[in-house]
Amino acid sequence: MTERQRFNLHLPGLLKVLAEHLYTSKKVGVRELIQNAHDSCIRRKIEKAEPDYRPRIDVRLDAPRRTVTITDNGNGLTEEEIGTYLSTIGRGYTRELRERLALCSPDEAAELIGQFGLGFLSAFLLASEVTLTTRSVHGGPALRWYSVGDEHYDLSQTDRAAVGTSVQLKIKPAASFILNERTLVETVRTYADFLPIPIYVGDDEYPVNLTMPPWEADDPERAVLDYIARAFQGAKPLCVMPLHDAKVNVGHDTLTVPLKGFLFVPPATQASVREFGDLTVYIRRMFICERERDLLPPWARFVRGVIECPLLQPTASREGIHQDENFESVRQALEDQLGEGLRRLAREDPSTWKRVVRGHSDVIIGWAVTDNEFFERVADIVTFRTTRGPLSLPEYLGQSGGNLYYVTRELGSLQEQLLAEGRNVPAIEAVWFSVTPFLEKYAQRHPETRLVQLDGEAAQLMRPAPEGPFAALLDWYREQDIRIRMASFKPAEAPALMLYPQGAELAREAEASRQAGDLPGPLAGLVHEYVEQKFGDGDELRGTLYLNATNPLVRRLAEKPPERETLGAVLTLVHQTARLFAGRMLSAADAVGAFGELSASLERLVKP
Amino acid sequence: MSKWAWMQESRRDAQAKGDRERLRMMRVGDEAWGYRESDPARAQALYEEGLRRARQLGEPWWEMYYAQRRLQALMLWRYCYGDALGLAVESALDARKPQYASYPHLFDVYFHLVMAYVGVDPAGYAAEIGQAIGSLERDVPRFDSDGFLIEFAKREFALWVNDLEAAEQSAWRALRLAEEGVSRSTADYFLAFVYADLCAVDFKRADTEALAEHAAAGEEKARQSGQQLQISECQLWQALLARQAGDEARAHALRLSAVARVNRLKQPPVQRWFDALCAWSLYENDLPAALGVRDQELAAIVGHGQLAYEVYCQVERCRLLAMMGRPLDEGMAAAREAAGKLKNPAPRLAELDAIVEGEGGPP
Repeated sequence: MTERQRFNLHLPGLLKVLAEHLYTSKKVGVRELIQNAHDSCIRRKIEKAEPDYRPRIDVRLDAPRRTVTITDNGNGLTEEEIGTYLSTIGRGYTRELRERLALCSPDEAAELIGQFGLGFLSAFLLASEVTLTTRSVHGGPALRWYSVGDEHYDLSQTDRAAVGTSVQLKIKPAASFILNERTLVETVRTYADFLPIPIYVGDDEYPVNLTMPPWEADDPERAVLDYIARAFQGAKPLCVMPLHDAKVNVGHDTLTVPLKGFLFVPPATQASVREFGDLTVYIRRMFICERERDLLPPWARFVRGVIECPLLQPTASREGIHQDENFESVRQALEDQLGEGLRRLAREDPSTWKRVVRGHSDVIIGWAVTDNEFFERVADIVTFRTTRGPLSLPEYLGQSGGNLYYVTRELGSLQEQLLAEGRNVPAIEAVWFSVTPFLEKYAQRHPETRLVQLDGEAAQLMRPAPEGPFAALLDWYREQDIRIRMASFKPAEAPALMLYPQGAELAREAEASRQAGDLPGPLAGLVHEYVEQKFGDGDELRGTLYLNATNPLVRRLAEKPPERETLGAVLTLVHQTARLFAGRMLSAADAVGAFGELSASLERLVKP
Repeated sequence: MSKWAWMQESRRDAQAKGDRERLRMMRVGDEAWGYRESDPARAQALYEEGLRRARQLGEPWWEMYYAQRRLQALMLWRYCYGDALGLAVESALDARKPQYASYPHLFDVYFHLVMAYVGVDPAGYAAEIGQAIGSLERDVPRFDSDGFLIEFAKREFALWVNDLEAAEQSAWRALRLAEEGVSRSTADYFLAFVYADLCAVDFKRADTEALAEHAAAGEEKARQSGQQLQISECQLWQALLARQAGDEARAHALRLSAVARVNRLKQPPVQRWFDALCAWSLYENDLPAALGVRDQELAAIVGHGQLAYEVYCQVERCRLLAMMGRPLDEGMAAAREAAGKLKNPAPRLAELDAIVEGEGGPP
């Protein structure tokens, strides 16, 4: 036989669940009580329609007595309402009122915040005892409600003249941090800055909250800039984009997404990594979360913002947002508006757009590779570090004659720079892994543009030269087992350059690893298998000396070679200078050896 | 120090100092993990962000960590092996530097080196890979769940070289590992892959009973760990079995669910998936549909550096073309060209010759 039973509620256990799993911070207790106070004032406004009513909320701290009291002059509660709503977990008057109002007075419904009927419980995150005193605007005696967070509460009549409610929290030791006026002010500002009801902390004659979002101020542009300065502690943003209601395609229909707030681009800085792509989210003017990163498109890492959207659904803790269909619609609306805003900026204020793209080049380059539309927008504007300073790709191509020459190592080696400058082209520094894919993507979209990786393909900046006239020099080098080629290149002042294939350092490290035996045998085998596949017998890894047929010294040596010993000394000087100048593939011992050869050659040349 | 302890300590340290830049750098990896199936390219980009941040903050261990995560995204989520092998070799050589002497994730570095070869040409480098896996097991310090990774490497390698016995043995070892004190969530995550591989073995052996058992178990584990691709694979196997049992309604419902789920993801499915889809079409002798599956598969993998997989796909295409009595010239040319890139193309070329001779056997 089936018997219908009743669930039992263990309130201390439920409070523990709330404290440990639902809310991430005890400060949420203040938020919830302020929210209740706000809704109470709105209720009074809706239900009583008193023309002289001036809602206000007061937060008072009594540190010696360890109490924080939140007082409103709102609707107050009757005994019935206390029993039905306050003391019934999960049943919130505000939600029910909003549901009733939604049909006939949606604007008034929209003003109410409370939803889950759990908020008041969060007071016990901070307090060991909660005392609520209230007098209802509808009449009846003033009441006192008291609980220590177990299954019981005391209810009695009390003295209270003013209509409204006061909630006094006896702060428990674990929440002592809240017994500080500065902390209370910051907490109120974090959660309730935009609530329309002024909130006073202590004896301050001015409310601590803004009472309206900056976009609703008389001078919204000024107000937004002030707000950014206050809330984000940063310098003036490069640009600000106000948000507005948007229509989004949802397949068979369009949805109007009510959207308020703004997006902005922080200024660039060299001092630290600046990647954002996050939003501060408000719902019904109540702070929900900051650093929400899923609402903006991934490429928008240089953008921040504040948004207010009633379509978003907060989680039970109201510290996060449900990622449901509405979330997707809001995301779409934001992406559309951001895209449109940036396009408009590029069109109407190109100098600011340039500052945005160049100020956040690293971030933009990285993300543009993964997003085609964004790539198209920034490809011709973003700048790259080159041997001639930062240049955009069109600026670069104007100087390079249509090819993109880049090095994947730091621009410390002069080798490739010299060759590039000899051909009167700058070299792009493509050390960051996202630069090369960006250049490749650009070259794909501009088929007339060729990519040349200088560390590995620098010989492309040279022209072959006939060996015949220089046979004596080439023969000497070949006798020394030095790989040698003739070429013509600029600058003519350079008699020779030593070039190594791309990945030569990797091969050298692999060889060093093999000799040191510092990788387990079979794993080292995989490394060497790769190196062998890539470089074959490895002869080219030694480097190739390119003798410059346009260099006056080389030509003179070829035309009128000196006696053999002198020739040898000079050619050794040329070779070792080129090795040292290349700056690659030289260990300390190699460098010492090179200097030794140089010195010996010079001695031979200066001997009497 | 365990594999994850240093990361937790780093976070606590950064939190205590209020170092938001470092915290942001450390957390970006968590964000990336969430996109591994829904948007692996984004996951990779996030790992690159982590790498950028780590480099700018002068954190070599985090740099290496994110370099490995980036490789993982490239190879194991996006199946892009073109650059992966070079990057894996670079990391392996980098890891010899003094600053990595006590780096706790060294195992990952060598694991990715091995998996890069497995992904490119497992048969061609079979001897080297086999020895390297042995070395990984013997010579490299391991923590936490690395045992699952070793068995994963063994299974994937064994499946590619068609050593079903070895793949099965590895799967049993992984199942035993799951009972040896790892957390439930870790075990469920890896077991989803184990059962998916067992399904591949069962399918190749035409062992429908084992396939049914492993597909059901695999789906359960995949659901517990939220792995959408593995759920879909297991559902597709079960769809195939339902069809063979005559339950068309259940078969179609399962197949629809599986395909819809895969279509929502951006992580490409693996060879097993396409084998199962092909088998579905072949069950009703719909050769054009089966060819369509192989075309779809080839489009997904060509040019991504998975040389052996590409050849496998080309060979299967040729088999289907031969069965359909369609001209083989173009398909054969493409298949031979792909085979030419393998270290040891002879076996595959022999398969292609057999297909031309009419002795290729069924797909």
